[in-house]
Amino acid sequence: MAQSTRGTRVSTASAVREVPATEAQRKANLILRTLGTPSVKFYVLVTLAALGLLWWLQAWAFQLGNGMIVTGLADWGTSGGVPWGMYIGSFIWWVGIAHGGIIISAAVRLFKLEVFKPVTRLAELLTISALSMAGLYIILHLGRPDRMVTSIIPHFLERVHFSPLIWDVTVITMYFVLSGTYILLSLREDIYHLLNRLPKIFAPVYRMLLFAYDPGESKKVERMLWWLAFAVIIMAPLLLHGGVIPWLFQLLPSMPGWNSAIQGPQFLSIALTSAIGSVITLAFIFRKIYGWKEIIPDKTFHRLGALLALFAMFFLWLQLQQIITGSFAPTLGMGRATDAKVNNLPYWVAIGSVAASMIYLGAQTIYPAIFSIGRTVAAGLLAVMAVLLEKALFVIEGLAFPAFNLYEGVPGHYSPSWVELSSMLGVFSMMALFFALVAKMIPVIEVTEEGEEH
Amino acid sequence: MTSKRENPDMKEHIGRLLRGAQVDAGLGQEAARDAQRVASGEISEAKFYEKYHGAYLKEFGIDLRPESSRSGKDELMSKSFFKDSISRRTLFKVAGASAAVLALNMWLGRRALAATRDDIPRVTPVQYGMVIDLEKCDGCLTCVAACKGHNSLDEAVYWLHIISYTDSNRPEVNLLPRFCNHCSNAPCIKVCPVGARFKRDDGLVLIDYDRCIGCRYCMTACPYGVNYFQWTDPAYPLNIEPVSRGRRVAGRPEEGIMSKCDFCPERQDAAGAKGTTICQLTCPHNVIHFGDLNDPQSEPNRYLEQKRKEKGYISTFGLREEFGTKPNVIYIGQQPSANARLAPLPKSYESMGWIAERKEVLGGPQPWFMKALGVKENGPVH
Ligand code: SF4
Repeated sequence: MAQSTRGTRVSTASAVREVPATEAQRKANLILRTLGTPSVKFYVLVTLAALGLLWWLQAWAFQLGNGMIVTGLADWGTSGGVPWGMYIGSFIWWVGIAHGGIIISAAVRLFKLEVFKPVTRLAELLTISALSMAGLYIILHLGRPDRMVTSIIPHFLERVHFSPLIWDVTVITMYFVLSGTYILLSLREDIYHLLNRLPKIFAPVYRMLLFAYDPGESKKVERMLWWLAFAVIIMAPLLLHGGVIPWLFQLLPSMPGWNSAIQGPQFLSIALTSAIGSVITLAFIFRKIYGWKEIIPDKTFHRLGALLALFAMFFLWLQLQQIITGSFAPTLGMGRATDAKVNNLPYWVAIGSVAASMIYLGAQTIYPAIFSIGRTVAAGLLAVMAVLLEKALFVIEGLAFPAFNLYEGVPGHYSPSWVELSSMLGVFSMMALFFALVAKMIPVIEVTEEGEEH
Repeated sequence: MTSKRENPDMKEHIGRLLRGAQVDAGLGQEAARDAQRVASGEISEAKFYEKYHGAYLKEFGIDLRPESSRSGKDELMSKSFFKDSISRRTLFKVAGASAAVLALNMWLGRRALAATRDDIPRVTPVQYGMVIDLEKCDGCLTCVAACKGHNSLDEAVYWLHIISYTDSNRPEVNLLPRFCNHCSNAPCIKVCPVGARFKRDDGLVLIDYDRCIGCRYCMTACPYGVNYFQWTDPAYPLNIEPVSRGRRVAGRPEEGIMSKCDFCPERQDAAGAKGTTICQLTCPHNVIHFGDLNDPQSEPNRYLEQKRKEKGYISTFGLREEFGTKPNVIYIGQQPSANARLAPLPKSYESMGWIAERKEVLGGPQPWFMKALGVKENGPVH
């Protein structure tokens, strides 16, 4: 692995011998291209995203004004509805995506997985932004978002050991703080060294980011980063997506589609699948826009694809576990929930997509000759979208087939309303805006040490 | 294994081969000879590795044979900021600390388990509950109407709902009024993130309308489906006092808040009304018996006793007791079996002018762009 990196570096250096700068400087220049004057395309993108955001904001205002009635949700029981829907499904989805980023970055630091180094900063930024989207979805979901602070904080201590929802709030906050600190610490180093090459208009931002920065402490910072990475790599999979997120569902015996001890590993495998898929997609978008073929080489995508195939395999395997348990000799409720699941076309669309993605990326891992960047990205994106579908179905179907089914309204029905669908447009627009603006402010790829010595 | 005498031709051949490999052929041959001595037990394995370790390192720059793995450690440590050796004392300390943490975890884990199991007072000094005589209910819906009116409930909200079903061996229509069970081990209380769900010392499970954030977690956790969320502004004004014992808990709430059958908390502290609910008072067939289940002399307990005497036996059940919720509505009669199938009510909700499924009235107002496009509104709006 290390050898081939060296190999490419040598060959590209000889190819551009006429450029006076060193190889590292040339690469740094390439990376810092994002900070240049925005192009027309950039303004178009920002405008479109802003419009998308505006559209959703009016939809949200409509929801706040009229109540949750404007969603497709309803009570389960006599009303024949589903009380949690796309908002909660999207919440899980975004938390899952948030996973990949910081885990990849932590793995690079702890296990020296140099091949993923080029995507670490992008992945960290993805973590922060995706987590924010997840948090937003919780607010969208609540009937009384205005009470978030007044109801949760004063009663936090008396509820934290009981309510899985509070476990979620707690762990996600911890996770947010950890990854925020992590990205800030590593960013400050970069910004300090590159300060004179960064756009002047953002100087106040850099000053803020560099508050109390001391270059003499870089050893100490390195050590802190190591421990943060260590904490993240243990906490994120075991406590967050393999812990409090699935526990939100699996601990409720009233919903047999949820009540299974396998949800921990199942959620984790799904989260990692979507996380890797979204890192692939994001990295590809940047590579395409800025011509970063050598900054984020094919090999990085190839290895990310291999990882995705592995996680997707676990995803499918755990689905099999659930279906076989739910069909062989199930209890009545579990049998009904499983029947509903396997007779639902969208479920098979989700599973089929993950399987297709796994098969292609797996084959490409074994026969690197068939590698294609386009197909890798397509497979990654397919997996990400399949996971969104699966997550929404998990929430909805779980609630549509409750254990106590002596009601007119069982099974429940749900389809997202225009307000809920608009939220998708809104959050995608916000993500686009976030990355567009961040790319203009800070280097989104870690610039190597030698890079700034010019 | 016997060590064979070496054939001189063979020796020459190996020598040539090794020379071709551009390494010290003498070292290879010597090592090979000694390896045979190891095999025959003449020298120990450890001695063998020790003898050639230095020479291997010099010759090949690396010695990856198992015994020599220590030589690679320096290289491994060079990038780490940890100390490159750990004293035995430190190791003991770490082991001791780990054991202590493990023990602490065990203790904490058990305590946490005990706490989550016993968080809700299972036994309250008074436990209001109901005894429902299924043999007497004829589905007249008087109680449902009374409850709806008393609590100003929206269309299609049934805090008290009558389930009608046929069952194997019971082809006639069977009726089962469903209330909130005011469980002694209520899952809704457990999951509520803000403590808006609580159990009073008279056993009532209530929702604090001033604290609920409308997450609907309680609705997903309840095995009985008794909860109704206020999806939009309530349609009717409240005619009862919502505050009881300092918390706003009675009648329908405002938009964005959860509600359910509350056993009329506003009556339980009022002289003259104490120990009664509206449904119980209005039922013309004496089906509903409300009172303190802890008190053997209470009305529901006396009713059970009397019925037992009359018939010589009684069959009672609580709904879905296997969920461990400890429900406090006791039914006299037969439990619906797994084969129970819904059947039309003798007197339908429609005949009362009600809408059965709330889904039908949930749709919300038309957004501005639909109006602008001239799309017709479909369905009633509440
Ligand atoms: S909807 Fe209200 S009462 Fe129910 S769990 Fe959420 S905060 Fe608690």
